[in-house]
Amino acid sequence: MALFLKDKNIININKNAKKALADKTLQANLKKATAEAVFKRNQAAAVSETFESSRDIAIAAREASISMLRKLSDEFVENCVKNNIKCFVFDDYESANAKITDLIKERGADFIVKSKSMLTEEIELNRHLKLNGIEAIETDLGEFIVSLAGEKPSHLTAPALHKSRREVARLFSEKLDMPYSEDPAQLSYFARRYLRDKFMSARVGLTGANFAVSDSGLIAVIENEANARLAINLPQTHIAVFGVEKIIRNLNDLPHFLNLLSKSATGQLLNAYTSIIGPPAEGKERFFIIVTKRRFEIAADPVFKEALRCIRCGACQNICPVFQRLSGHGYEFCYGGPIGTVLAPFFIGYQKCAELIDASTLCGFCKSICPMKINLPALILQHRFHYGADKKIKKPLFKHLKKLFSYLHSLIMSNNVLSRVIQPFARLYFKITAAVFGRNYIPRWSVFSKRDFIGMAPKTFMESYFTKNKKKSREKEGDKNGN
Amino acid sequence: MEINKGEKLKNGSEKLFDKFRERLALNGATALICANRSDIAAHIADIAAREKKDGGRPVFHLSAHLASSSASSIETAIGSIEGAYITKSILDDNGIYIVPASALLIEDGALAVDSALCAHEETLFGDICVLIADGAEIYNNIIDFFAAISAGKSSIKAHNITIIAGPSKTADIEKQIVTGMHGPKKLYCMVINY
Ligand code: SF4
Repeated sequence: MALFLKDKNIININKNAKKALADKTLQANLKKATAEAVFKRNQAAAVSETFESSRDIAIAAREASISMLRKLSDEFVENCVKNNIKCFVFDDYESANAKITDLIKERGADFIVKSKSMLTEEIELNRHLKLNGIEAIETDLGEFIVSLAGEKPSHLTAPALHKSRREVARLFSEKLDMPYSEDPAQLSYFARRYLRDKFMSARVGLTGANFAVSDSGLIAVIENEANARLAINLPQTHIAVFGVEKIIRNLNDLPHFLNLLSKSATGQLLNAYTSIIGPPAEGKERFFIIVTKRRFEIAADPVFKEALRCIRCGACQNICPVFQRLSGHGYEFCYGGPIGTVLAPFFIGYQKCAELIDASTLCGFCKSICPMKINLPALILQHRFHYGADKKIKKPLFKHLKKLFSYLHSLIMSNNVLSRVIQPFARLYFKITAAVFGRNYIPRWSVFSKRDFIGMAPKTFMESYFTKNKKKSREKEGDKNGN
Repeated sequence: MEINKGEKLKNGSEKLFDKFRERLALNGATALICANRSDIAAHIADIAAREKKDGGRPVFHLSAHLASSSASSIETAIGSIEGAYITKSILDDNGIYIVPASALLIEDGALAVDSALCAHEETLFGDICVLIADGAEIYNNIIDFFAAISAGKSSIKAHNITIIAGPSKTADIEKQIVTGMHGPKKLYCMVINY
């Protein structure tokens, strides 16, 4: 078995799943957090008068913006300039990171206050800043917790979803000398006091953007904690970093996205704070860093452009039975869950995603909950087709064996003679594996005990049918003779 | 109920107010209606009593842009509370910040604050934030609000908008909601309706 899994270039979902399933605390945290998130989302959607209509309008708006992404991007930059905002567009991560580093260094800052941004995870900004002697202080509580633990966020909107209060208490007392307490309120207020000093002295604040409005050169930032508002408004310099796909056409489109995001992400009618950010206040400065990496390519793909509709709400993660057990970390990619599985091959390549694209039951829950109605299972399936069909992709040994197994299986099952010949051997095989392993073992198939092969019936349907019929006719015959 | 975009809350709008109160409560905040000056005084005294911890003196910060009619009523109300005082410091992380709200979004249980009339710090600092909706524009929801803004029918400019729906909060530790993560712990909205 291990032989088939040794390829280090592959995200090892099987190994990660085993590890995650063995961690009882993680399983309990995930179960509680994801179930509650789905429940709240459903409640908020049910209360809202406009949720369903906003879905359709937002989908149409996003389709339109994806189809003219380059044009909108240029228009957005032009309007930002009019708003006295300096915009930089980069196609690669290195240049984006280098520009941000320069901007911070030029302002004489050795730390920044930062609010949650998945794009900065994608470009690995914090690591880059650290290499350049700049500390990125995460101010969203969840991000603050995972950064203290030296981990990465495990969910799009709830980065510390995998951590229990006990783990956070231990972390705060070890790393911040906080008197041990497992009370979430005390832990949160301790973090508030600790971070408030940083906000007051920071020269640069860095945030993401949930949406960028092309026709007015504005961005929208939504949050609940108010840390993004502090990072935007207190320091002299504000930098917002986001992907080009966040650009939408106009202010009329915007509220529909806000409507969907708040309900789908956190189950709220609206998030506590929605800030529309435009020209900097007098004496202050603002920069927008836009990353285009692979986005235009995806936008031009007739099938996968649908993935760019994503508003990063995390609802598909909450409802996914795989995510609910694996957690975001198991995906080894900054975007976990179904949407992560769809995006990953574009950003890290098919070869690395050989197991990842298989790690879905295609149950369709994600498609039904997605506010943007993205057909995630169909896109995952498309990746599987593409992976299988593309001869240029170097496939690991287990994929070849799987293909061989499938081929032999269909060959045998479609041939009456062959299948009859093989049956006694197959029965014998399962008899042996049942005696040795205690179950009907098939390599790869049996990694998860819950998915054991059900084995083979002692007789085929035809065999039992004819045996029964023979018995019946013999009985009839006997009756006749008895007469 | 259909509302004309940007319409002000009028007497007889009880149903509308009830819906707003119910939705704001879902967002973890409290809506209070003031039908006269004595209502303002009573609500301010009540909020001050909740804030007054360990016998301390309640501290108020009043935004410079409050509508003059409500500002004078609020100042009078504060004046009659024992030990209460008004500070001008806006970076003080204690006390009750009273600031103007420019629009009510009924179905969303939310308020829009215009940064041209209210410094961001005024809704970020302090333990309690009280938003005063005096002559505020009123919309069914955020969709109508943005439609009015893009059509130039609202007095608020897009880049000055902050929509507030509840106090600062987090649920990052085991999904337990804690208010006051980085901003105010409590949010009140006083709708002046006379
Ligand atoms: S794919 Fe849909 S459900 Fe998943 S994060 Fe994106 S918008 Fe949300």
